[in-house]
Amino acid sequence: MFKRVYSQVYKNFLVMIRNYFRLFDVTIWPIILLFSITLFVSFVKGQSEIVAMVILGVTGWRAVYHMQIDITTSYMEEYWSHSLNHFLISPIKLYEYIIGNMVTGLIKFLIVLTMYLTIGWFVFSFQLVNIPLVILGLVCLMIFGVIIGLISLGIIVIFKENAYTAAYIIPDLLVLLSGVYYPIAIFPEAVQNIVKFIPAVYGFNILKSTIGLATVDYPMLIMTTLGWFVFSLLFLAFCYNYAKRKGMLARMT
Amino acid sequence: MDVLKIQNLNKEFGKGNKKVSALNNVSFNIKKGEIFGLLGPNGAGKTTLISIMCGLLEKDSGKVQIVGKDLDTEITEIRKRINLMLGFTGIGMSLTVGEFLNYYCMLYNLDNSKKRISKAMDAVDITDKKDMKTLDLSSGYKQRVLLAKALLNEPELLLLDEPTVGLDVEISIKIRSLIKQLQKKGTSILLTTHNMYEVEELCDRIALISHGKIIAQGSVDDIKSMIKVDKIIEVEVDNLKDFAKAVRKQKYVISSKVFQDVVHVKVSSYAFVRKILDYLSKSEFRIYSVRLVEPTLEEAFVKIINGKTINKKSGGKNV
Repeated sequence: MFKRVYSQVYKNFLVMIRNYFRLFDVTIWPIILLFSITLFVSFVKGQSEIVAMVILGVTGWRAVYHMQIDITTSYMEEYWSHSLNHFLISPIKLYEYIIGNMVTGLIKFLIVLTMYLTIGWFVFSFQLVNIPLVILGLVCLMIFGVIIGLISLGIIVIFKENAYTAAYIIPDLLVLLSGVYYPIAIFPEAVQNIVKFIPAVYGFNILKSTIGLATVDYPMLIMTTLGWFVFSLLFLAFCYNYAKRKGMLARMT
Repeated sequence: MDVLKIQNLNKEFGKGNKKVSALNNVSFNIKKGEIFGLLGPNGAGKTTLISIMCGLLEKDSGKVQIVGKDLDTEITEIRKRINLMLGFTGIGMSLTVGEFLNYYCMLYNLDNSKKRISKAMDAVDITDKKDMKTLDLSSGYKQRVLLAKALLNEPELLLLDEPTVGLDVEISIKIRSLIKQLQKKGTSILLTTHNMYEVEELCDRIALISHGKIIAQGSVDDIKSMIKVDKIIEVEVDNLKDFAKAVRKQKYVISSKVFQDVVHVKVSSYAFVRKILDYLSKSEFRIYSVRLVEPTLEEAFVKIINGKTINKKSGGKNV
């Protein structure tokens, strides 16, 4: 099992160092994202807590992003390179594939996290307070990232490149609705009633709570995370079996 | 021992009135160390069959056993022991050839990967391309890399779909020789190709598939003998035109035509072939050679696929 899990890490990192777009995904783009928001907040004379909230928010956003994107991109990489059918008939199991890409996502996120903490400390004198709670918040957001990755993979298994754009849009949309730099109270009540079922809301609240800007509803965090996780597994299994039944998994020619 | 055993396999696509039968009661088996050719026109069901065998497509009904394992319950074990090479697909990753093969060694959880990679690259003559990106290879080399990939786990059943399509003559010969070597080592091979020469040279048995049905199976000779064709006697003679004209006058001769430096005399049965031989022995023409032209597999294939099989006394199984 270990070799098959590692195969995904091996492939993803080789592709990353040879492909500028993938390399920039863990270097240039995260830094631009960080500076574009933190510099704006500094410019409007935001308090240090607000700058800290922005840094924590961007960090949480990247946690979701990296945990989900490799699960879908790695599959598409096989598709784009015309070797999906060869890959799918190998003995790798779906869970080994997912774990391999989760590990890749985790390593990429740790690279970004290190950059953010270093830049935050040097440029904005930002320091983490209550590190265990920050880790808990990031783990919750990473789990949410995996959940989104599984749902996106399910869609991609059937619709291939037609759905790949969704893999980029859906997570960002959900993160924005989760109150990444702001409380969800700013949304209209109808929207609030919907977004309170997104687990990321509580993950971001954990991060914000470390600087005293939010409180966390832990029962809702657990319930929504479990609910979404079970749904994502069932959805992926349904999509995979549907694609297998209809001959959509991979075209042989 | 059967490495592959397929019984009454069925698969339909579509819904309601638009249902199309992709596979209809398909049954055949492949023995250990046998090369089995699967022939059929485009859309006949070959790809559907291979997709089911690899677990990429769900069957509607029927039983498939590969390397003694049931496809429904032991797909991972089967995947460890089979491999596939598709001639028409490419590979375009930014991984080098060596890295690509190493990646597949990991996917198959193989030990001694360096040795296996070196052996597989050597077998298809791509050792000098080890550090080239697969993306930058020509289509012929990509095919060879895929064949090397298919050899990594030393499969008991190797599925080859058009393995030499688009390859130059030299490497095609090498690949055919490699297929024979694999057979000697006990590897069973399912070969799908449109190259009839390849089939005649390599296959122990073949099955013809059309509209999702196996319409004939047996050895190449069995399949050839299933078609009723007129007998053609090729005569090399000194005066082609006069000979053709003279022989045509015999009442049992259907036709006689000059082809470059020979005459093709067509008769309807072996009895008339004997009569032609008698005629030749008595004629005043100077005869250099006489040869009976056998029907080609291609001819048999076209006739059987078009439903023109008549000779029921043949050894082949017309199903």
